Amino acid sequence: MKNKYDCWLYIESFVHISTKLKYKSLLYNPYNGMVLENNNPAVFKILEKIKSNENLYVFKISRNELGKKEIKNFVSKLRNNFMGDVILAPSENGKPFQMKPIPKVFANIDDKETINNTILRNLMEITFYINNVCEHDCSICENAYKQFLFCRKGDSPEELEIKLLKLILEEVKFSGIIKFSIIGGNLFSYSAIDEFNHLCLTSGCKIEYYINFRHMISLGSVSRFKGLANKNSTLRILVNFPVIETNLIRLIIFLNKFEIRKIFEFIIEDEEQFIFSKRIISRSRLDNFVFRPYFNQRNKTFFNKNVFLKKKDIISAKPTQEEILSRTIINKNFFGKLIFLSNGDVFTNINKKPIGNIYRDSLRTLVSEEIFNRHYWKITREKIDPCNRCVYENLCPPISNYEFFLVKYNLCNMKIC
Amino acid sequence: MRKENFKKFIVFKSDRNFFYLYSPVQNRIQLISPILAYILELEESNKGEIKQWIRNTGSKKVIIKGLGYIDKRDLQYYYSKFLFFKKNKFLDGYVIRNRIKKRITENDVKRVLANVDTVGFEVTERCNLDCKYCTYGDLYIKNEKRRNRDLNIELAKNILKTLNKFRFSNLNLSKNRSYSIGFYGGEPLLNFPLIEEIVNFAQRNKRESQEINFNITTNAILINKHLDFLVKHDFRILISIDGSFNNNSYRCFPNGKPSFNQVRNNIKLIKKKYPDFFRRNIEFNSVIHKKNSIQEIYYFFKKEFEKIPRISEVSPIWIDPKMKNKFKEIFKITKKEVIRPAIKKQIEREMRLYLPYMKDINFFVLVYSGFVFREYFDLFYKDDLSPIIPTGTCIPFAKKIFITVGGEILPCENVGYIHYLDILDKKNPEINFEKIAKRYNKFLEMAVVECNHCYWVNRCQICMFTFLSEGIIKNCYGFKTKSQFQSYLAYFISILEKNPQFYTENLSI
Repeated sequence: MKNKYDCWLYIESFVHISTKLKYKSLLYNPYNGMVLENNNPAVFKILEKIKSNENLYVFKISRNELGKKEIKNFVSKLRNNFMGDVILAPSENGKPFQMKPIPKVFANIDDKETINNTILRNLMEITFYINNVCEHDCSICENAYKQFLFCRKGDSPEELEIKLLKLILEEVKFSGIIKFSIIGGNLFSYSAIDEFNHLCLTSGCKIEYYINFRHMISLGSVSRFKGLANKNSTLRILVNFPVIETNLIRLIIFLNKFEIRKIFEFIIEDEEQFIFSKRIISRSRLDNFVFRPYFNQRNKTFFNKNVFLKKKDIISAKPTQEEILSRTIINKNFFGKLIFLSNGDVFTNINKKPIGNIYRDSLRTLVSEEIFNRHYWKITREKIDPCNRCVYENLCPPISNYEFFLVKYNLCNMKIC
Repeated sequence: MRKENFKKFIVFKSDRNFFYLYSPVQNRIQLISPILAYILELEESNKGEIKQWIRNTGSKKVIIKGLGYIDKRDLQYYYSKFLFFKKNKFLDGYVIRNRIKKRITENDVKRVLANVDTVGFEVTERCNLDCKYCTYGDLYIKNEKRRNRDLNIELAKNILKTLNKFRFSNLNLSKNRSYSIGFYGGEPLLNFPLIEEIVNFAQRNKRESQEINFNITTNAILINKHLDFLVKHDFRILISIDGSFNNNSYRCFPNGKPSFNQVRNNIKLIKKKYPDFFRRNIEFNSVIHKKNSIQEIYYFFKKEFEKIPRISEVSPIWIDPKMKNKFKEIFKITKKEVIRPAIKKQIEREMRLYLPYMKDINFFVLVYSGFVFREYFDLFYKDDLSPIIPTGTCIPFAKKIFITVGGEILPCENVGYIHYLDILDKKNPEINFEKIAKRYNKFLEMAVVECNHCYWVNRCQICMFTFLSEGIIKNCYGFKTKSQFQSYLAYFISILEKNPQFYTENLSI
């Protein structure tokens, strides 16, 4: 008797599917963080078909195929992890429909006409290196700012003119701008710090001040700190070694007197510094802190052990579906961000050439330059080898300055075919 | 009866008898098994504790009405899946009125105006045709009088100056502050001297790097007289013509004579004299009614002009009750039209952006696929549950700013005079943003009486000016109860089941 029923294998619309060479496949459920990896050719073929735009996450599968051991196991795991199912339906019904996740942005960078109309809406964050003057000689000064936001010193003293900063703040008032990050040199040496600070605080945006703890210790004056305090502002206190423990703890206690949001950023180069930092944190009962690894060319082993991601690190981050899809379109570490150095040079990627100079180019021209000619805002792992050969490419966090500085994109211990 | 005020999950069945789950909080639609659908329906109807029911079933197989014998292990599996969906907020809902609390402010209006990229001028109320379905004609309630007035040039110039002032403020976010000027009527070419003056004025007052584009909607009766000017200034021209001679028979002169031959000859003239311009800048709009069909229109434009026309329907809004029968003689619903199967796919593919029923499908896909964002900013900061402005009405000036001959500011040319946002003083057209925001919000307060109970609330397509007027509130024709919304979802999912290419085509535009 002829079978009058079809079996429809479907994947839930919230599941992420990745298939790569040599039959490697991965499914990920963002709601429970479960990952299904497989390298079976039969499963691979089914997944390739099911994720295609022709099938849109629904695929007719024969009973014979469903009966095969590897497929049966796969389907069982699929169901148990709530990633998909099999529906039996009369053949005359035809095929069901599933909304395969396909991200789309209307004001699309690739559509010149549309994006030109609201170009400044894509600007979300500006980092101002307002000066480059500093009396200290930190060993990491030359390269730290290329890996993460950190103060930097120049060969000759320069500072961004206050009238220019005023114009910029006025111009971006109604754009998409959410945050300003302010860094030096030594911020407190900037000639118009009070005026600039006032401008920033009245902008309504979030402000983050990046201040090296050495500058704070040598400052002494209470009023300077008070001037930075605002419901929208955060102090990020940069702590790089060498550190005199008592001095730092004294600073922490001193700052605790002020009602200002503060985060201590410990710059770590090796295990010893890490242990030292943890001791300080414990002794001072610090609860707002982060660790920032710094690559000094000599600490590859440290990086390998503590910074490079293992599979469990990637999975434990549990990215949402929205995050995964956005990683296929843009790079959130770079998108919408401009960095102004104290000489006026503007970067979208601090490890690459400037896109212009604010004394010469308008903000609109600079944003256009990035969007149409540079593309760092859209640099995704799908465009980079070896990540584009890895099933975890979009589960991994977006490419950051570390990758560019190290000239290595796979900061992980994953084995890729 | 308008009683729902809480929007919950919905289970619905398509024409192919597949079950789907709609989640209002997740804003997504999932294919589900019929057993899960059954459990969800139990949950929805609060028919007691499901877990207890499963426990009490006892034997290895259970009979479920409509599904037959179900293995108990399957039932337990789908119950755990139900719990998974519940835990992850697929079954959560929200109070409708809390979603639609947002109103516009004066600053919102200013911000949008500074970024508006199209200004439309009604250059004259005069027209040289008397089309049977014209919204200014006998079929429609006459809320305003057409008095054959022309637009005042000083008013137009002052508007352009004001707009430029905003365009060059920091409120504008565009690259080079460019914009378009559109000319409408009546028949705009009847007031060609004004068009000419506005174009010249705009070009003279253009600032560095700014581009100004021009466009016009015309019946093309007079286009031969002004063609060189239109070509010189690179006008984008939308010509209204409903197809062949017979198709076009509702478009006639006031004396009743058909306009087709004159229009067609003029179009051919453009094609012959300026072939490149014709290819780049000429588009057509055809109104669908009982004297034409999508198929006929498609073939006509392909054969005559190698073009795909835009399609619009005869407006069903604000019909004069006395003219209802006359209206029915003309009006046709495009989605009910039967297109020959051999050609249907091709027509739908080529006319996808223009067919009214395809626009509805397009809208459905964009709204319910779940991953469509207006701008990149939304990838960072989108909040699906934050308050929204009710109805699908555009925020003032989001699409364009439209100025009538009487100085009324309208949000677009499709809205009647009585829905003005402000009326400009001819000497000093200072736009009153506070007044615009207040007036707009006043209309919203009228609309929201219905919206508070509507299941379509957060994805509405309906312009409130289609059912509201000063002192008049009609029932919103888009209003949906829960069961109407359920039918709506089922209808479009059924279309997508049969035409999955509509999904991918829309998302790859």
